[in-house]
Amino acid sequence: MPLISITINLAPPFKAGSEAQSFTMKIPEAEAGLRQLAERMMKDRSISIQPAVMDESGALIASFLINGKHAGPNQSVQHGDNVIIYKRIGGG
Amino acid sequence: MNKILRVNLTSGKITTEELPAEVQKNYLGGKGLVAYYLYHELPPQCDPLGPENKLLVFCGPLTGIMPGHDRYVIGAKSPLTGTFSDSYGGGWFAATMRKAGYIGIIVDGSAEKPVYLKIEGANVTLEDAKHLSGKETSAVDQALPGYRVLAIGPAGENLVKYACVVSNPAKNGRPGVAGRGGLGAVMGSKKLKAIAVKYTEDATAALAKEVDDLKKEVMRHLREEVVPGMGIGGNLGAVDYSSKAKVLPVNNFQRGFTPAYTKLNEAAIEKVMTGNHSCHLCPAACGVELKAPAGLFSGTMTDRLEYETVAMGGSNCGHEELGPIVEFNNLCNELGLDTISTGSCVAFAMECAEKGLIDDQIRFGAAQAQMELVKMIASRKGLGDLLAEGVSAAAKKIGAGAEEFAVHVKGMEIPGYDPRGSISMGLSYGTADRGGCHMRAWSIASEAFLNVDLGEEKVNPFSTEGKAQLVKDLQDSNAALWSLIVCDNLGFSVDYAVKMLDAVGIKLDAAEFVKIGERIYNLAQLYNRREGLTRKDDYPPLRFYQAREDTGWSINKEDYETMLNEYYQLRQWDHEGNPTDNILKELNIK
Repeated sequence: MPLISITINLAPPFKAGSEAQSFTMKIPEAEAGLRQLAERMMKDRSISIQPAVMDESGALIASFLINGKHAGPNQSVQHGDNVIIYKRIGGG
Repeated sequence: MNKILRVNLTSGKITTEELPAEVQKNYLGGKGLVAYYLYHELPPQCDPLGPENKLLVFCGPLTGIMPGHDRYVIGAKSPLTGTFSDSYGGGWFAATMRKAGYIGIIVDGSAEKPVYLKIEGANVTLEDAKHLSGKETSAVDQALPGYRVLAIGPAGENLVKYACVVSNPAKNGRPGVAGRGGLGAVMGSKKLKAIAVKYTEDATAALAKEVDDLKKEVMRHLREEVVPGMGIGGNLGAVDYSSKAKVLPVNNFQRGFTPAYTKLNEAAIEKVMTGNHSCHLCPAACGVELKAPAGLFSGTMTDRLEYETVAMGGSNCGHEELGPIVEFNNLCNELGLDTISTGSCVAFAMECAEKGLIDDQIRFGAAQAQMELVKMIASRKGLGDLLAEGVSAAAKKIGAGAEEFAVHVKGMEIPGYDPRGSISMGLSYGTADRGGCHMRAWSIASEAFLNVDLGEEKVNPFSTEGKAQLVKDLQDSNAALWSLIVCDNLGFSVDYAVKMLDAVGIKLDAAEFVKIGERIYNLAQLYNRREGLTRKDDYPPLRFYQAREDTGWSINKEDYETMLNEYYQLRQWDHEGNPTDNILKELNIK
């Protein structure tokens, strides 16, 4: 299955275990939806993301931007995309 | 617990009815029910301060049961904008109302003399409020021991067009303020000084027990994964974000940054914080209590200070220290005034005075004069009477170019984010269903503020590309979330909301849930169009087309037109912003 490479940027409160807030992930092209990406990140112990971007029931906690643009959870990523993962709050 | 209490103040008749299942299915609660009942029950073109307007108080299907949902919404036709209006508050009132058996209260008519509504479970009466008349909000709360109270202050009684409704200002727990849109004046016009509620038997007890496992899981999620990222609480962290993104209003939005922000930010407030208070069933305790540091109003205490108050009553009025903001917050909460609109009106008056358009000595940074003006607004005396009509009406009366710097949309003063540094906020303000509001789509958090978080520009805050979609999606998902009514600060996602709804027997997937939000947003738009609003009402204030004096930033009118056209197209609205038959059919709006 062909792999694609994407860059992940984590905005607070999300943090990777390595403390690196920007890193590259290789994912199968056929599993390139944002929901699947979140699921993969939760399972990948080398990333060890905290707090959870998706809970055990599969409910997404995080929001996404792809290449600086708002993206819905069912949108797909492509090779070379830059994905920002952040927590949306309603108002300030 | 899904009863609606109907109270006619003209006749004194009080009845109850069940919320129709079909209405709950299509509109859920909170904002959805406000949209539904305003659209279906208010006569077109009714006087917002007349007996035909209705005052709605709703909570949501998770209120009293799930953490983070103990909020109420007040709804009515706004006297400030003439539009649909919904305004939200936290605290303990909503949970108590639900436990007493009610998901909503609908008040119409007008009493002959001041009254308050007393709810003790099924026993509901209208009581003489002569002893409460003219009192400030905390005095009203104190005068009704044993009840959770919604009250208006003198500003509401005097029909100030941006009078607010305050809950729980004097009792244990976090106070709440339904600040926007002048719904306190609607209560005042009905001579309804307060609503006091307590429950005799907890109507939510059986369902709460049934969903106890999920409730514990939600509480754990909040404690372990949300609260640690919230700072000292609420939205005070936004002072740093706005300053770094250069969108903090200074001197009536003439600038977007002050080096003094470090005296107003979360770190400065943490140093003088004396306590914090929580809403019912919430571990966040974001109601920050503090004491003003050395300087003006030193030692003055206040509670539940929020970013908007710091921005609009503080930096936007030329203040560079916390003391005047603390005093301003207290005055507004006690007199029953919205801090955003009041701050904007005061800043507007300061600029008018500096430009010689009004004969007054008030100037930016003049703290004592500001406090006196706030009191004059609440009592409608002198210049205060003019400003009590809102900045739009005041500017029209003053003339001589004052409208160029009256910062409002649809008559409602905008809050503390300069859209010249975040173009999506321009569209968010322009298309908000209740006028100049940031809450319908707080898109800056997905744009300029993300750059602050990431330490570099990953999102272009000046580009219009993709911003119409961002604003529409946020408006729709927020409309659905505020039908529950979730707390904005806790950041529950759509998926998480769907999971919680499922536990109380409301089965939806995420797409269906957001579709309900879209239905609600369209119904509010239908209401506003029926009241005569048009495309020309969907633009940001004139000030934002002018280059800012510190950065030179401005909104380009053509760019805005492009973005607005794209937004209307995404919504399937025609060129004038009227929902088309296609979208009404798709959303099953009859």
